Amino acid sequence: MLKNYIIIAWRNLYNQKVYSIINVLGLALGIACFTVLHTMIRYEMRYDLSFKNYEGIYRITSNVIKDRIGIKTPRSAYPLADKMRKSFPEDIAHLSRLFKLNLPFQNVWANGRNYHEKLVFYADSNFLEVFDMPLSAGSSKTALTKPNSAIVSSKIAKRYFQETSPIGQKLILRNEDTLTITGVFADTDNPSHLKFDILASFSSIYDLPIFARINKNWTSLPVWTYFLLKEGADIKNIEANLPKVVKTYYDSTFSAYYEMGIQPLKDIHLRSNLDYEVSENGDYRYVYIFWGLSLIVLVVAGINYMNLATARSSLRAKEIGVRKALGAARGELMKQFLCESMLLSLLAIFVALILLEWVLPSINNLFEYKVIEVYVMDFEILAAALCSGLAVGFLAGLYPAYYLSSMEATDIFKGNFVLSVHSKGFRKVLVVVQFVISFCLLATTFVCINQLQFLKHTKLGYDKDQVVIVPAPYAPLMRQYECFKADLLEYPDILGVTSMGELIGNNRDIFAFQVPSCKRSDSLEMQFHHAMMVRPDFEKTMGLKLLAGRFFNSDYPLTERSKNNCLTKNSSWADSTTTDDEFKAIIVNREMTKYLGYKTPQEAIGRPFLLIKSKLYSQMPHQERIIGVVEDFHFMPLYDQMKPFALVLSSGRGKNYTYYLAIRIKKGHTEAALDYVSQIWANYSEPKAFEYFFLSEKLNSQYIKEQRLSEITAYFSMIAILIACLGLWGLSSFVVARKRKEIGIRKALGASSLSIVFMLNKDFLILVLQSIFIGTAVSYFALNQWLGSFAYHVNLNWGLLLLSGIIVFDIALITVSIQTIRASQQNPVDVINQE
Amino acid sequence: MSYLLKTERLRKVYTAFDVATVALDGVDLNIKRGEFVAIMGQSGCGKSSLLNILGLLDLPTAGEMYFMGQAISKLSAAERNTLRKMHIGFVFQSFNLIDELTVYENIELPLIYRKVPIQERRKLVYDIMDEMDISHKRHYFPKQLSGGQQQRVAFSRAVVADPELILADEPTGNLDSAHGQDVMNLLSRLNEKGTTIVIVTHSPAYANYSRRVIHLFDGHIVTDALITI
Repeated sequence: MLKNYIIIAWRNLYNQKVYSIINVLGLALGIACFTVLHTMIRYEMRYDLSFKNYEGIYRITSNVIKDRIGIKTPRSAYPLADKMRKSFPEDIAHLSRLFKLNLPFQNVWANGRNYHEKLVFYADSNFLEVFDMPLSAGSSKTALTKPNSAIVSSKIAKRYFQETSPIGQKLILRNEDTLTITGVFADTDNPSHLKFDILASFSSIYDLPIFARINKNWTSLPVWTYFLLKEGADIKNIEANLPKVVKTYYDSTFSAYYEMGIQPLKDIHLRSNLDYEVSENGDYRYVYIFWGLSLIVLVVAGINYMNLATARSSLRAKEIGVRKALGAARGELMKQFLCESMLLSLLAIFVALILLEWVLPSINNLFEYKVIEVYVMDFEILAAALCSGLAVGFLAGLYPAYYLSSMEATDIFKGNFVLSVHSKGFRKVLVVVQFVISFCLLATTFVCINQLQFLKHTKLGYDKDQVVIVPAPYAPLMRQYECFKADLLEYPDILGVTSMGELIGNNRDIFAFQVPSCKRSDSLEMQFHHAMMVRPDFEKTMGLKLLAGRFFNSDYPLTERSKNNCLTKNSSWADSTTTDDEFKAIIVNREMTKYLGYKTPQEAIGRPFLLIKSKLYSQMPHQERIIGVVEDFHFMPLYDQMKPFALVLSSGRGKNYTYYLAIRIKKGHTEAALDYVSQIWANYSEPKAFEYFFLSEKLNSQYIKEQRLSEITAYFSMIAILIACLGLWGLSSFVVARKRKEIGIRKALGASSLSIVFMLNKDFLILVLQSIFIGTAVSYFALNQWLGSFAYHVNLNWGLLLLSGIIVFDIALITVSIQTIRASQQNPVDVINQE
Repeated sequence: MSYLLKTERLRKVYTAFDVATVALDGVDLNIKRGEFVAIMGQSGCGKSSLLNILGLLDLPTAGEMYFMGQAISKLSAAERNTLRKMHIGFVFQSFNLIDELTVYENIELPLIYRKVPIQERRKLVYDIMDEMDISHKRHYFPKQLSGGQQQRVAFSRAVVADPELILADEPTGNLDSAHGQDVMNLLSRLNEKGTTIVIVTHSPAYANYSRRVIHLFDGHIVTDALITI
């Protein structure tokens, strides 16, 4: 019986080539899209699952929040680890800390060459007992036990030492610390939020000043603390006792605002979106969107099959009647038609695999998505293509099978068989569903692009264009900053030079301040605020708008003596003042004045705003008062609402921590000015190579997730529209074929070609218009929800919905008209004589 | 001789657009095993409706029909289907061959539905193709055959499973007289071997091949006469 089913299915497919190609192509596109998206989803969901103990690994998180201002971070205090070990000896098997210097990159000297590495971390010696990362060289038990030892990635091992064994080789970091390579991470395809180029032993930084600052500090949150549960231990026990730990070990002033939390390792990549993540995480919402998209494209493809199969049922009527007369039961006929749809889907799977073979290598470039190396013969790819193909084949085949097998033999033999009203109505519904989906995807694409453009081009409250950023952490040149700045400003097209501790627009730093408890009182209380350390001329270089008071005074003019010292590496500047505002001045934004309860910016001027970090940066007493109020500007990405913010003048050693040089260049003179900067850079014998980026480009790259979403929806909406149009083309060609006689008679009676085209197009285009109407309502609701998830967003633009509608309508019109115009040109005599 | 088919006050009414059309009205009919019956009458007199009910393809609106002693109104669709595939063969005026199947596959189809094992199926199909002289066309598709050849294939398909009853609706309608006579001769030979034959025909000449002629008019049996040779 099965052989008979397959034979007839194959011959039907072969005899109806056009319909078969439409169906196979539509399904293949659907299956290929599903498989691509499935691969992306699987990759996103595999993060950190390769660790043997992933289910027992957790990370400690910290919330320091007061009056809605504060920080939520996956980092914690350095001394916490030991206390956790002592507090939960029965529950915690291993506990290990990870640390990264707050630098954009580290300068690494290896094998006679200089490199910049971003992923340089420090970890406790037992780190590899928590995370069983495989090593291709060295022992995971001993690699991090000694000070100044490091494990490197196989990528940089090859880059630094080519074929030579890296074990025992030396690396010099920041021209200061010498590390010995004790291990090499093995190359794996397993994604993890932990990505290292160099992982050094924590003991390597015991001698650095930074360690002295974090070592016993409970209020600083510099390390990521992970722990592995003992077998049989219950995480709830630890969770329940965290408040007790906080109460026992933290200072009562700090613990009032501090809350400790725990997150499981397996949730980090998709569900953790905190400040100071180890690496950029994914987003579970996008995983759901990918799932939705993959199913939507499959549904659109499945609908094509259902529509064409039921529309063409009259062509199968005789066969069904004969089979029924010969004794075929309805179930047997259903099996036969399902067999046909499954055969079709097998062909589609085959075509989809060919498409995938062609497309997969370029997926990474297309979506900037690291799906690593996936091949068509990969088990997961094959399984996804096979399962999705067979599932859609089966589900899409069910309705036609049910419908076709319900035909009565007596009706067929009497010639009474007509397409039932029910089936026609159902088909119309399916066409509408397809075009609603196409419309919604297209509208989503446009609105995503619109929002992305808004994020990239909205006024941020400062001028991000024409600003060149030079990351220069620990660059010896920064010790002669004033001289370097003076030299740069001699060039007429360099309009401003400053430096800052974090990149403006991506600042997540929180500082603690002593602030008046109420606006008229002089009694001070501790508050946490977003703040950034900057040097003079920040406002001029960035184009901030002053609302009240004044900006920081510029650096003192260089004296002849200090000018002569410029080209010597004199580091005595650290504790000297270079402007009379040092330790005395703070600039805040308008939101801060509102937060502090001042009615006008002017009211805030002169009020105390003391920085609590004095011991870290200088022995000088802090006497900061608000000297200026600037218009609000977006110091963080536009995901977050505007918050109170303070600009802190770097003072004393604080100048060491303004890592980013910012240079404003006159428009149209960028290239020449950059040449000049590079020459000056060279004059200072700076060993670090001159590297820079444009602030605007860096800020735009923050919205990579939105960019990726808009690209993915753009591609998939195009594919969905293509599949829907394939179906519409098939359906319209079938209708035109059935109406050939009617067209001939109408033409013989004097109908114009245009009226024929209108008559044939009308029914289809009414369906498309209905789809646009429904799609508008659906997208209006859904897109408003999505836009609402941004603190700053565009208003839903009706023009974009209209544009989507026009595009969908036009594509449908062209698709149907290709058939109908040709039909309207036919000679009526041919048809009438034939009839 | 026992009854193969028996109808009692058979009535069939079709309703379309709220207009009821009576196709059969109080038909009482007994057909014994081994009979050769011709049903005659004008177009629209109810011949095909009667044949559809006799072939268990359709149910009467009222009245009862007994097939091999079983009242068909008491049978489920699946049970009627089983009776049909095991005991009845059909020959249609327009042959109704499945265009996508070859000659061999068309003839094999009823055996597949009867779940006859493949070896036996092959023997039965080859035997009937030899008998009908169409073995050399076994790989052809219906559209590649002449009308006569198509009818022989349709005939082969109807008889290959050796049914007890063959229902033929205008089996000669699309054939010239020579081929028409061939078909009637085949039916006669089958009847001589014991198969019950019921044909619907307009032609008195072909009706003469049967032993009993029933005339229908407006859904009633007006004459039911045995032909004496």
